[in-house]
Amino acid sequence: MNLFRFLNIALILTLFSCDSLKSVQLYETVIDQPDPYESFSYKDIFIDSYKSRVWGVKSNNCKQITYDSINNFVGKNHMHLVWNQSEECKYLGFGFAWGNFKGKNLAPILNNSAIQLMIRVDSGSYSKIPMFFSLVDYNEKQCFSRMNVLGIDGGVIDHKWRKVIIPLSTFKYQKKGVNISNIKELRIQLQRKGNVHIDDIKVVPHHHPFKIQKSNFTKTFENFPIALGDIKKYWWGVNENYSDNFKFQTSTSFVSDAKGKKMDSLTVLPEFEVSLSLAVNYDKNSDDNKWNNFGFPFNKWERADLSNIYSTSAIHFKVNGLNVPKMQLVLVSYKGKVKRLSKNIQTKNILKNSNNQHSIYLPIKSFKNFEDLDWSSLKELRFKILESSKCEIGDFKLVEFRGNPEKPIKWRGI
Amino acid sequence: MKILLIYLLVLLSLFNPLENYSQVNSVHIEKNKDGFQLFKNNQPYYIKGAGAKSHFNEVKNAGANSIRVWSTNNKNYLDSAHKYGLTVTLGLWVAQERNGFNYDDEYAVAGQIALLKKHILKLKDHPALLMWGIGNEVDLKYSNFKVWETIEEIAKFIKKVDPNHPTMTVIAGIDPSKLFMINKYCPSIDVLGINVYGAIEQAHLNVRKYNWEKPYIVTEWGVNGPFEAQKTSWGAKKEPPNGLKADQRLRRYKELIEPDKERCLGSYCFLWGQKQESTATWHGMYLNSGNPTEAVDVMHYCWKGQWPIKRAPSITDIKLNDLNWRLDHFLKKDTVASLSFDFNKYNNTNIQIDYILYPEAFSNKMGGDFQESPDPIYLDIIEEKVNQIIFKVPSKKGAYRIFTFIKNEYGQSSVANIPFLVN
Repeated sequence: MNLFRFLNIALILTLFSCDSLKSVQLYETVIDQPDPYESFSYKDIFIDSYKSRVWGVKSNNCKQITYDSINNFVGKNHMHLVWNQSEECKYLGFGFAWGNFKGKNLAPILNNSAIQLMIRVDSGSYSKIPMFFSLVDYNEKQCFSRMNVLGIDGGVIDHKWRKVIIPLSTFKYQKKGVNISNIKELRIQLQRKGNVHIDDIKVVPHHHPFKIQKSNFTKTFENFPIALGDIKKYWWGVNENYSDNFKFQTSTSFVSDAKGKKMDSLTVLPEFEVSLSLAVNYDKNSDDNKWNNFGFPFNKWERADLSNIYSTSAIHFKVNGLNVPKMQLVLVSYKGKVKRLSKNIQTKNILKNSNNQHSIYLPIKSFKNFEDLDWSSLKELRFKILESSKCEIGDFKLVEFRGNPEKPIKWRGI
Repeated sequence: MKILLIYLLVLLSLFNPLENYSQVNSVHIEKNKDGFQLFKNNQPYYIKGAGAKSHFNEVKNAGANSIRVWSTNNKNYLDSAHKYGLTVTLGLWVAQERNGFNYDDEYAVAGQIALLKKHILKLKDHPALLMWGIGNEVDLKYSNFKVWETIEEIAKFIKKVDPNHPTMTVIAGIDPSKLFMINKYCPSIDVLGINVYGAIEQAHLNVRKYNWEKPYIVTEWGVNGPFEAQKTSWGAKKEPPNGLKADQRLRRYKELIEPDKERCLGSYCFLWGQKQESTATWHGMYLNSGNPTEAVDVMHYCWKGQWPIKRAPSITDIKLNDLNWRLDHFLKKDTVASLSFDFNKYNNTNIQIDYILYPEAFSNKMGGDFQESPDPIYLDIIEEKVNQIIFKVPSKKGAYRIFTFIKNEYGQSSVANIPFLVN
């Protein structure tokens, strides 16, 4: 019985253990990925005129390329380039039959290799030389790079042979549509004037720590209302050292819709209360009558993208005073053929509330040629006071508006 | 021990790779109750300057005390200016986005900064140096605001290594967004440089409106630029005759630049030399022959308070078939047309007149970018009077521009032109 139980247990254990067993070799073999640089077969680009072919070396009035055999860095000679660009020869360049023009795949070595050359001049010292390097694919598409002082050994080119590094990743092949997997040759393009010796051009391993960052100075706005001019430091046109025409109010009689309401707005700073309202005291006949405008950005003087909402929006603000003064509003964009749209406030834009308070609604669609403005790159909103006036103005917003742009205050949505 | 120390110091100075200069200017800015004041070697210094790369002797003779150059690529400008007793606002050329520079490219940005630092160390003790101009119009058609970080890094470096010279950055026109960016990103900038042509009319006011609290220099000014000019229906820009441009220069200096003693440290007129910008004569105060125009006389008057003894003659109006330069001119091919002009002779007796015909040089370049000059074409003059010619209209259809040049026996000159379309 005991034996039977023992065998059963042994069988069960064996079955379970077989399931979990895997075949394992005594020594795990780790398959090394080949070093892309080491396996790249076309490291040498130029050694000397005997070992490397160069085209475009024929001399003309603007360019003289000779093989100089004195003071070489490697090989039996090196290249001496003398050039002076003029009207008669706009293109000055030459190229290397790198790997006998075989198609070279630079993609695997792009981020860890560089083209290296040795350079010297006969006299003087320079931190840059007007020459460009281009990688050319079999569709004759080229991408360019140039010497960077950080890639020059010691930061200076002088009578000694100096090493220059051109990281492969600095060639903007994607932008130029170059097939980096099938590069035919390296070309050097000369500009302006120069006199240099070059030698020993080759591909070397290189760590390039620099990146191309992606700046974004644009904020996209999607929801209404958008508070405008609610941060004092972004305003212009209010400077009491020079003019009393416009002053920030330390208290406002406006009951702002903004308060307590979540808005797709700029960051609200402590100045919020202050800059909601502006005291206007403008006399068209005074000495400083040219101080008649002010403005503020949509997005902290960066770009505001309103392209999804502009057509269903209106500029809205309030005026406290006997009358709403004649004024012009100007929308300004950072780019585009049309950078400004302007419109004067008309009676139909004004909704009179109680106690001399007026609400102004200016639908974007009521601006002439409003479609011409680049709404993805909006900069600022400007106001120009066109007549003498004493009033308070504030509570600026971009609000939703879906009514008739010619009858703004009739829309029931406001 | 003392002798050894002196010996070592002499030895060190001999092997110093940087150049040594004996008379470094100490330049600083003070703010007092009347405003800002520039001091050079503790003496008040108001900049009477020209944007110039040549004719330094004439700059000096006209009464100027300073020149502005745009880059450090030629130290000879500094040496030459010093020779004539002129100071230099020296530009550090910061690459412009509109010409392909990418301010997101860390390598390119770091390389540019490293290169400019070398230039600063090399030239900071030059005796002609007055001020650094970090960048010129980097804001023109830009979209990447990171450029201001580069400007600040260079300015900050100057503050560290060169306490003797203020820092300035130069912008194209004046705009609240640009001043906000400079205020925000560039606290090491001491002075704002503004290149303003038509916009000079409101510049003094806008500097104040747009929250710039430091001083400014009008780093380029003159006549309204081609980019502000009226165009013909075929897109040719209408250039006012030189006489009108000279009047405009005079008014702008006397009424807009000189009176702003509170904030403006001085100015550099543009351009003490010649360049092609839409035409060969638009901004240049000299012709490409090297002859000075009446604009030079105007600056002589502005800086010295009196006109030069010998003045250039000055063309005040030019007409094609009796219609002036403000209108569009259409001519039929192979017909004849008359070109006439009015001018002030001043105290000149002998006036030499030339007429030259060019094909129109359309260009979309901007902000001082290089433009190619067209070659002149044959002008068939049928009859010539004192200030009028009858000429044969070209037989080939197209846009043309005809120029009148006048000069006295000293080469002092004036010029005017009219574009026309042959159809």
